[in-house]
Amino acid sequence: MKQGNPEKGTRKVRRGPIRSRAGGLALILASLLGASIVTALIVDFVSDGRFMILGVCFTVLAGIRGVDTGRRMRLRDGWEELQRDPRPPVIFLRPFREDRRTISNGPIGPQKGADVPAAAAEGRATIEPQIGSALRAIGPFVAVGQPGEWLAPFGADRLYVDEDDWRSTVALLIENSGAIVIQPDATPSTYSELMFVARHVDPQRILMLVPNPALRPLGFERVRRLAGSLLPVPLPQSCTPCDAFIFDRDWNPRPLLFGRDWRPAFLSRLEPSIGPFLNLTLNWLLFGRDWQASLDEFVRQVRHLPVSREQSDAFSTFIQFVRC
Amino acid sequence: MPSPPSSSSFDADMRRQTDLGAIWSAIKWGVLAALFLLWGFWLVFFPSPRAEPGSQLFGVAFLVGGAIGLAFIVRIALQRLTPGENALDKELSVFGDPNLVAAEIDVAFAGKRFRPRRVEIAGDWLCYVGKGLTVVRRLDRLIWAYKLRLSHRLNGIIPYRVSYDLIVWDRDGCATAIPGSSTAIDKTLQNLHVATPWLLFGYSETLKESWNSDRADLILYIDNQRQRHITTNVASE
Repeated sequence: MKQGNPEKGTRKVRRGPIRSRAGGLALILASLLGASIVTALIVDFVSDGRFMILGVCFTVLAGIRGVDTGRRMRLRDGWEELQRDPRPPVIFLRPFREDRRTISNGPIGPQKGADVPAAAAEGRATIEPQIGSALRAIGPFVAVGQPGEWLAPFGADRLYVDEDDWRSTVALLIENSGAIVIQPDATPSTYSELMFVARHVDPQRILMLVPNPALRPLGFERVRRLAGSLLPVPLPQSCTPCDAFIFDRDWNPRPLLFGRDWRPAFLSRLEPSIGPFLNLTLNWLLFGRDWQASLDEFVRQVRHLPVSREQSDAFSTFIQFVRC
Repeated sequence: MPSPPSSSSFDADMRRQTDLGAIWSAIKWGVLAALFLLWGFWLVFFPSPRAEPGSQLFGVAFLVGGAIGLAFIVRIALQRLTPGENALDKELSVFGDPNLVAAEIDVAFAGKRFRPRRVEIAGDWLCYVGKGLTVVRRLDRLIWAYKLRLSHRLNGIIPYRVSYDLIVWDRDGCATAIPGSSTAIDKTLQNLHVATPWLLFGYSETLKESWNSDRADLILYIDNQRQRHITTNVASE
């Protein structure tokens, strides 16, 4: 009897995204060169002004997309980063749906009736790319990646783990981390993660991202209730606008507001219109906010805490084991 | 089984207006398709001596496109006029048997005259028929209502017109946009506030973000508000 291939017919699950430093660089250069050549050709050969403007805009946008894709291909693997940097890492724990959540310029949903423009996405809702640079002062900033991603997102360096043993891997990472950035929500995974963090981590090492109560009061209330059932000291019921909480050694929370806006008012007004069309670098240059200053207090607090040599050694062994 | 709606009932008036809307829409698009047909016919059979080469090919394309478009418009119009397939029946069938729902609406709007292009609110129902749009919503399924001001711009730059819409979001996450004048929409919002004081009214960044990111909690909040309102009313009675 002919033996069938057991893998035939089963869907192959991609474990990690496409990563290639050389390939990414090649794509960036090709995008820049290609966009420049096509733009020059359009300007030279197209006589109709309308088509020329449309063509140039399309080419520039395609070039920017190519550069962004190249940059994402060149993003470092989380495991490599942990091996390279001996400091205890900063672990970012969040529900995977936060990676996909976007900020829109209107309410999202199907519409019926009169011709009303649908809401357009203005960008990713997550703030990990912005807080990442400040948190890397503590240690490598890593997060568990969503299985099946083609390209790693900007922000924390992604660690791709098997779906079967991700809990044990996350538990080991938490136990050996220098700091924890947790974004709790009403999902079983983040609930168990928060429970584990509350039991095993020094509260001074925790940065808890919460929905801003001024903008998402119901989301804040949901997180407050969730945290209230797990933390020794509940989050305040009403507080000033904030994006996160840091804690003292007795779990007393202190609100933190990110991104004090230093920009001139006209730039703030321009952001929703042109922000989505720019890449991350240009967005940061034009619309970047003072994230560093907001996180300074947390970074200082964590850096003053002692790191046991034993912890670092155990963690190095673990990383070696995972890499093998 | 309820008897079919009488010719003078609210539902029958809505049905008549829905059919008129379907016919008007068919005429509007049919004229456009007929113009294409006529233009194609002209280009094919009466070509101008100064016409550019290939204009007859355009004519054939217009003829074929116009004929296909006309056939499609007639088919859609006939479908929309078929009982059970028209827009009103489709709206009613969301809430159960269309006949039963129609009878319920008739009871709610008893003694009221149907006015096209006006949002009518009575009992548990919100109804609107006009401008080719038929809307029937149960008030207890609504979550959020506000007036939207749209500035229409030529090439996205030069403003030339402002229009207003009443936007109503329901618990299924769907929005209904009902066009109208600014004052008419304000009045509708006032009526809606009287009928459903638990609803969210007006637009703000907080409501938008809560709707997009915390929808389940927002719906639960509205359900609680509604329950509280009903309990208060029962207690006061």
